[in-house]
Amino acid sequence: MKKKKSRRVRKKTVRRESRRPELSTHYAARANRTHTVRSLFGKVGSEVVVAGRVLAVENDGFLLADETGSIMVLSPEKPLPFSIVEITGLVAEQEDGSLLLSASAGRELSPPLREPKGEKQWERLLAAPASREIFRSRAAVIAEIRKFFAKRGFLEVETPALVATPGMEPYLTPFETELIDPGGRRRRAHLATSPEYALKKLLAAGFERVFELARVFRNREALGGLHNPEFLMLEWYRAYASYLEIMEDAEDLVRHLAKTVCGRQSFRVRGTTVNLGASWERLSVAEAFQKYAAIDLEKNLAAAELRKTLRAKGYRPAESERYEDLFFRVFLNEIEPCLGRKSPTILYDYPAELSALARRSERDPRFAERFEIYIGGVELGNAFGELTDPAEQERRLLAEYALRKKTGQRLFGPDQDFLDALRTGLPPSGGIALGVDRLVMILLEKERLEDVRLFPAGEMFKKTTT
Amino acid sequence: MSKSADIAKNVVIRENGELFLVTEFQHVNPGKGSAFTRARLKNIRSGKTLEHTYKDSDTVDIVEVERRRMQYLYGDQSGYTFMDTTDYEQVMIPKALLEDRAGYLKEGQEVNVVVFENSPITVDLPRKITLTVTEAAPAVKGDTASGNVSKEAVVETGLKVAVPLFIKEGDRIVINTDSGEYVERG
Repeated sequence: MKKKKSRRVRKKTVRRESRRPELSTHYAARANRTHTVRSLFGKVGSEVVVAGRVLAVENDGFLLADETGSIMVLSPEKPLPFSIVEITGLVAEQEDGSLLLSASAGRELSPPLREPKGEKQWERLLAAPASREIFRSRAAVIAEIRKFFAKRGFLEVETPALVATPGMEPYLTPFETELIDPGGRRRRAHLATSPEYALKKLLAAGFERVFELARVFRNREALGGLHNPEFLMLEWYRAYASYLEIMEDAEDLVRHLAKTVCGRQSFRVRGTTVNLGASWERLSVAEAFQKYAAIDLEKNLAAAELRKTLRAKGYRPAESERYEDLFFRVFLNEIEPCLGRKSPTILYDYPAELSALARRSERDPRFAERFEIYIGGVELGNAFGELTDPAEQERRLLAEYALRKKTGQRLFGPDQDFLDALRTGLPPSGGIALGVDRLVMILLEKERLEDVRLFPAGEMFKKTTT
Repeated sequence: MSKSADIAKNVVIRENGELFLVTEFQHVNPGKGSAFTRARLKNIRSGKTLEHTYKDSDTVDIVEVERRRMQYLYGDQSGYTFMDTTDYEQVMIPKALLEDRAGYLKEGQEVNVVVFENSPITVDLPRKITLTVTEAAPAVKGDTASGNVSKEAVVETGLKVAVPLFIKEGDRIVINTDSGEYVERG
């Protein structure tokens, strides 16, 4: 026993010693570059030191890229593809005006022990530096969102991602965790599915215009396409305003981002060209049902009627199916794909039953003040004329609790602090939640959220995907 | 009858009397009522595609299909011809049904052909496939302005793929058959 142990220890020591000098030779402590690749313009004839990654090796040289660009290096010595090197050389100009670097000395700063496989976003970025532009644009969108709201007098706030009580939407599954205090006492905790409750508490606190760029988390959602379990949500609220002002904010914001970040208003989204600059279509849910599904929604506001109508159309809903499910059968198959094809569509006034946090419409209480924004069939945002009546809010939350219980979901009571805020009094308000990843995807004409997120969940959790 | 959760790629479904091949599907829980599956369906007679959304409680008529190991021979104007290497029987998949996948088929390659009532309708492709590059311009001169350093290459099947600059003619490269994207050197 003893013998074995000592031998193992000796082996370890030897290995560590032999490795040490290797490290210091191969991994440079610092680079001595004098120029970035882009700054070589106008430097023809000068001796410079550049540094970057070797992206391709050809017969008479290699292609070197740093963050600013790439340049062909003429050199008899061939570095390994993907190594990070520092090159001293003379800047020359080719006949067609492009630059060359004629190397006089070179030093390897970091050797490549593996070749990037291109399975992860960061590896693909390394091999195709131009796609890093996507993430500069993403950052520009976020910076412009902040500017837009600052100019309109909104305050940026930060509300917790870690909460005791998450939203109760019966079809959202919050991530569960546990809070452990130093004494070892445990409390249930969750990651917020939306900052909505917290932001409404701030309306009660006296803030009249607030916005937040919140990381929100939703479990049991697809790992890619239009979904990512963690995403960036933009929410904003206006006190002493209705959902109509929110519609205007949304229209202005999206146009502002298209103009400042992309310099245009026309975008290809899912096979159609959408003009964000044209006046946005405003369509009530009832009008949409009539137009695209030939259903008179006012005569189909109860489950029994709608079920009958659906059966006549060839759907096969179960007898036990709730109104909401019946509604979405038609909506997802016949309506959603038609929305926002030429200009964005603001789809407004949902049946009251589908809008737990929205106030009922004064014109027709069977409907609620809620709207969604669709661009090229993609849902971008969801807004409410906020429900400020605490008694009705509590009733609706308890109904959602009952539905969660019935469908076997994790249970937690309504956020009493949120209800207390309503009991203390909330000014009439409007608010919206808008998916920033989806907006960036549309503005950059990408098809999937993983194209505009640096670390898509589908790549991080590969083994568990089905 | 099966549950809609059983929907998968290359499954054949009967819907209103017509047969459809599932080409893409996604399970979604978007807060729009209970969870559902959104499938892209290709009509196996006309090749036309449509999307349909199934609630998770729905039953779906999944049709039994046969899978036969066959060798891909060639493609022409009307379609793609495969041969059963045990009895030398040849079958053809009409162009409209396979056009979008044809770039992943190499002459002589063995694949599973999906056969329904004696009609071949599609093939099962591996998620990754290795092909030889037949055309690739030499590394460009470097683009000091934009840093754009991927280029287009053509592989032996005629498929065009965006590849990193170090890829040369004659290289074997691995391509993802779902996305059509370059994965790594083969």
